[in-house]
Amino acid sequence: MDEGTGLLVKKAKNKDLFAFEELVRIHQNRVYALCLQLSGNRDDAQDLAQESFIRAYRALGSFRSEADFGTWLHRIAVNVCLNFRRKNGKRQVVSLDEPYRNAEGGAIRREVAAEGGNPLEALEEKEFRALVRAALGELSGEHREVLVLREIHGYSYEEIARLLGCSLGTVKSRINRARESMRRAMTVLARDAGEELPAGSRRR
Amino acid sequence: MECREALFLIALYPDGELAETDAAALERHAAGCAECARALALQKRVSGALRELGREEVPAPPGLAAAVTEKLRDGHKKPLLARLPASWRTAAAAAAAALLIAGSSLGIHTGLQLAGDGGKTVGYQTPPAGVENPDGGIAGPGETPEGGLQTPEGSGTAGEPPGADTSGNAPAGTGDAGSETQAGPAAETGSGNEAAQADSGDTNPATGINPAGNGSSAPEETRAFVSSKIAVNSTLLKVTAAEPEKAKDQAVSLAAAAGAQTEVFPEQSAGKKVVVVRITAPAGGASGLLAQLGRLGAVFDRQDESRDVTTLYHETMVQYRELQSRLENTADGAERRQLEQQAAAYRQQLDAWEAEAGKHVIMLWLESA
Repeated sequence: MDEGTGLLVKKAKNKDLFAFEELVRIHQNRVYALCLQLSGNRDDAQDLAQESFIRAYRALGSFRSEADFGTWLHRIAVNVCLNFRRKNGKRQVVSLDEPYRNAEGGAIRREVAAEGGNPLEALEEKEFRALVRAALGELSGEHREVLVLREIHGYSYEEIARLLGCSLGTVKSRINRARESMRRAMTVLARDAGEELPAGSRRR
Repeated sequence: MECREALFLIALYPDGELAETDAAALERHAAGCAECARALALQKRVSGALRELGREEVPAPPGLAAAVTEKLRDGHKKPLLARLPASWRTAAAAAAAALLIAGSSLGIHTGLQLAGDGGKTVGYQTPPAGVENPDGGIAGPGETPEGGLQTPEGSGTAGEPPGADTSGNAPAGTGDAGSETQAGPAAETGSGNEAAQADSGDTNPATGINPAGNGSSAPEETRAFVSSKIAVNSTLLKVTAAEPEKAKDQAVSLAAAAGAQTEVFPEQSAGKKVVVVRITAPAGGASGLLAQLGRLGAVFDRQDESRDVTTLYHETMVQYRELQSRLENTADGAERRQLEQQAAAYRQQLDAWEAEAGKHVIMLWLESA
């Protein structure tokens, strides 16, 4: 099987499951990463990634070969994840991955001390990123979604509004609040981890 | 400017959509307010880190791809059978069942160590009678024409034709319990490969139903080799190398030295140029080769997987034979070509499994550092 994605796609369109499985292997890490970012926990991410590939297989007929397969797959996975959260919005999964998970809105209620002009540089890039990942897991589903789409994957406000089926204004204010929650979560996590980050905001 | 307003602007900052006047006002405020300055700095850094996260790959749980195929397979098989002309659906179902039996003896089991069992090769364990056939496609046990499944006299299977039928055809019914209810395949499939190919023409319902060779086998004996497996071991090794092209050439020659087969295909991943080398190595030499490959650059991911494809192999074989028999009954040119294409894909996969059984498949992923 010495073919690139294009040929694999062509074969998969012809109901060649084995070609499709190769495609899954090539793309699974990125799709799984996306599902993990959007869902915030591993169990859901695994189911969502599976579901995304299954949808993709069934929708292969509508895939135009001049398009980028990875991008197309990405969109499908985003839709699968958003629909899942919409259906299960009320359910808060408590998982070991997210020990700080909070109630609706993701507001972390502990007050944060803002003193101690602690430089951001105290955290190495790698540690900082780990903290960002953890903080993302703490946000509410709504906040996490918009941040993942906007900041990680560079979706425009308009695209996000279309995906979520809400107004541009709603998206803007939601992203705004999500960023605030994110800074707050970072500060709290850093403090809990024994580091001191400057307070993102003391006021609400 | 008040802190509240500053915080509002800070949240807009990463989008680069702040009007110049707002941005300037924010900077002025931050210059005099340590807390907002820190919040602004934090926001910038958080946004930067989030963008970095987008470039990360998270290793998918092992078995994800296999699970997807597994799920699709159930939905996939029904249409395949449902597309059969209604008039000979029943016959085809019976034929496929018989072919599984015949195929077992001629093809799949040829390379099997029969544990002193001579030529007795009925390799399946009879599933519970009355396993339900899914709607739409194939003959239920009761509909199987009396003559469709000619069980030989005195055969161990003669008592339970419905069971035999089910094991050969039910797309969903027996899938889960597969490795127990399906025929045990060859541990050594080298010779089975040729035999299966030689046999593959013999798929006409009339001639296919002739399991004379396995007639004398009793069910007790047949279970003896149900445990035989076709296992495919694979490793995904991701390496960053200064020059992926050069590393690819090295990998290919390393593989050749280890007696492994290689296939190369270029890929794109997040705009990066990536070379994927698929290496089929003899099981014994795999670990040494993996260690050598790991030195081509910096290993950033490794996933090992051992997968039992026994059930999949058998079901694919049945489908392949169905396709073959449909081919013989199809005169329409366009349909023939489609069937041929599908059959070729199945054949290719069966060959691949046979070639890979007992070997170690290494997917070497090389990307530029």
